[in-house]
Amino acid sequence: MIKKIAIICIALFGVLLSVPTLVPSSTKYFPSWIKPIPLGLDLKGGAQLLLEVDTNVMLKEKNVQLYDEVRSALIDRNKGVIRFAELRNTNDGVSLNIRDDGMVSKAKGRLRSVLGNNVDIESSGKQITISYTAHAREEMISDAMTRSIEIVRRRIDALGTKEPSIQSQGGKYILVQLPGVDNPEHIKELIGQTAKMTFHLVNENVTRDQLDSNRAPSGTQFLPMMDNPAQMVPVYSHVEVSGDSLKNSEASFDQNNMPVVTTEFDAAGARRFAKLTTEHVNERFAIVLDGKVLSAPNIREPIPGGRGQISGGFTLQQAKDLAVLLRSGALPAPLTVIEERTVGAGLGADTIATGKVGSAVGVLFVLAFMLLLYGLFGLIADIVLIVNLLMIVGVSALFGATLTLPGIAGIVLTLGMAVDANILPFERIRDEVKAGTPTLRAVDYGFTRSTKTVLDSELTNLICALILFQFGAGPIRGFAVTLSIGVMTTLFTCLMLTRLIVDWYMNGKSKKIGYIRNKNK
Amino acid sequence: MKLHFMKYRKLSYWVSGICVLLSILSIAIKGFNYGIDFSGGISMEVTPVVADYTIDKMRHDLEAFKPELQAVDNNSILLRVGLPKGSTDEQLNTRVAEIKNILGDRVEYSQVQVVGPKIGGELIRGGILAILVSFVLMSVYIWIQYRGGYAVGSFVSLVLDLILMFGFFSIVGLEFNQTAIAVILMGVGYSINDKVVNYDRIDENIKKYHKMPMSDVIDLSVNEMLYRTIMTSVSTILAMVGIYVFGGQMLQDFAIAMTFSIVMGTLTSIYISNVILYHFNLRETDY
Repeated sequence: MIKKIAIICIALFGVLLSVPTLVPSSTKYFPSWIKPIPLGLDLKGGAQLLLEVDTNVMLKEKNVQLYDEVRSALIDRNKGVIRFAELRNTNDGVSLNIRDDGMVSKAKGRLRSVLGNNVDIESSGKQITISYTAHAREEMISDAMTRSIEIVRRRIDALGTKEPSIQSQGGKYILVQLPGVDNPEHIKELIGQTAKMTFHLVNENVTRDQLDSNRAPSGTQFLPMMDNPAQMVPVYSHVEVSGDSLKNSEASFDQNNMPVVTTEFDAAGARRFAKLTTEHVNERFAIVLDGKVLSAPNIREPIPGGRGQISGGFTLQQAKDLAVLLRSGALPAPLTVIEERTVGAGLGADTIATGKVGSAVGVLFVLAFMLLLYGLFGLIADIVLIVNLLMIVGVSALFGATLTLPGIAGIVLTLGMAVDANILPFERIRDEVKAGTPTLRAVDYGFTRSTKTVLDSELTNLICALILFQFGAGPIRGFAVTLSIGVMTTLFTCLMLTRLIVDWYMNGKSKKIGYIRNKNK
Repeated sequence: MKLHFMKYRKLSYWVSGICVLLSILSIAIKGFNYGIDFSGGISMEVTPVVADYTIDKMRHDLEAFKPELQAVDNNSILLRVGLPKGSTDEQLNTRVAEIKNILGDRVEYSQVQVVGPKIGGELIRGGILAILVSFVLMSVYIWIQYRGGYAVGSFVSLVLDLILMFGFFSIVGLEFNQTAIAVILMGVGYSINDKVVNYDRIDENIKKYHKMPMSDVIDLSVNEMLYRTIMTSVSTILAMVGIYVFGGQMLQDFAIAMTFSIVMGTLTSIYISNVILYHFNLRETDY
């Protein structure tokens, strides 16, 4: 009896879960964890972007940092200079030669103590190679992923997009979903920029000749102007203040009513900026964004408050975008949009409307067919089938599994197998009755014998679904999730619920015609 | 009524063999009508909102991109731009921006899909790997539950199903995209369900009729299950008919391909996966 009540309760609960999906206006009467099933962007409209995080660029930068660290560790005057030659970046780290054989182990000890356990230090003869450990590299990549996602989220939030979903996918991809967005060009532009901002001094000693022949003296780089890439500015490579120290930035207008971005440094940044502007009055400094010079103003007087203003011949939109970029921070690694899928809201709505009608008619056909084939048993099968479909919808909604077009394919497959799971015992029963078995026993035998069949075929499909989920991506996963849920609900409804209803019906009937004694034999 | 499937065993093999050959030939020669999911590129469905912006004008405006333009119903235009060999993701993104710039406010975008050069191949490789691994594990499960012969039988017919479904997409020229993958997966799932159900009955009958020759046991079992097999297919196809007739243009190709998968899964269950069991000695216990 307890089992029967449990079955009924689970079925009712599953059906209840589907109510917000079927009648969206009823959502407000349910607790917050019972929601309508989220629709995939292919069904409701919106933009989806797949971004690739270029971790190679980031690792290369880390290698350059490693170069600096190794260099300063070995020339540390306090600990004693260790002489070396041929310090250079390799593919995955740094290599150098120690001048004096006897110093190799000392150098290794020094490097280990300065660089910590994140690096492998190996030597053969005078040569020492240093590279990040596989573990450290993985950490850097996963850290870069986390930060990238955070920054992408900030940038998208700043644009006021509704309910964006931003998640990592497959180790180096970020999947951005923007419901209701028809044209994501602006967003693509915003998240495609690294937005690394640095402040440098301008090297005024560079001659016209050097500039024209593109021969930068060491420690100096020639960078193009943002609004006029033909014009190169010679800047010292050394970063005086970096954009990381920015506390806030806003778009506004200068005294000539031109759009500018006002920035505010945090305390440390403000001190460095004040020092820079105090020591270099009447020199120029360059504001560099992603390798391009935004502007290179002259320092007329010390700027102590940590507030600055960046002009660069912006339009208002550009100034606003730059402010957003600076506020949300620089990406640790460049991002590339490698896939874009946009479904216009109109088309999405059409798809849903016609898809709903089509699916409903399809299900009605199946229900009518079962009724036609098996009469009363068909009616029972229909009830169970409806409960099954509602439970799929309800359970998917509970787990927040998104319904996509491939998901519908999964539901159709479930539907087919669920029908099968009913036809199987019914046919058995028919055969048995034909062979002269009393109805009650035939029903019992039919269900018992088909249980194994249904179980085997459903479990085989579950195996398929789990593998597809594990190895597949995108649409394959959507299919696998729906199919797995479908297998569970089908097993429950077809093996338990059908049996329950049939038993009730048969019991009632057998009491009427006095079959009960026959059963007890 | 009793049908003699075993008698036409050789014919079944020949017909399947020819179908496989046709599929492979079509895949090799004609190939697939790859959607940009696999080939990479740009695909846009746009609806002009300016009255006199015709497909010819659009073709002229976008000349530089060598687009494929095609009018689809309700006034929209399907615009496809391929991916030149060796192009990068950045170039592709620039192209999208340029095209949108040229079309400007004269059109509304119903659908835009841009797939970079790397991602397409990744998806198809991952998909096929996933399908094959699932075949192996499903066969292992059948092996454990029944016998090795059944496992081999189901594996062979699953591979057959897969080739025929790929062949169907190639011969008919339906767009091969992410949805196609879902349809093929659905076909595989349906097919394995059918096979397990039939095997279950064969296994039962083998135990029941000790002396009956193998070919008779198979014939008997298939016949016993025939009504069920057909009814299950018919009802699943009925659902597809509903979707085809009322589900709108986007779901129509989907419904056609699904119907094919169901019919094919049913036929290979009856004519191949059952019949092939003849070659395995399923009465021996030492499998």
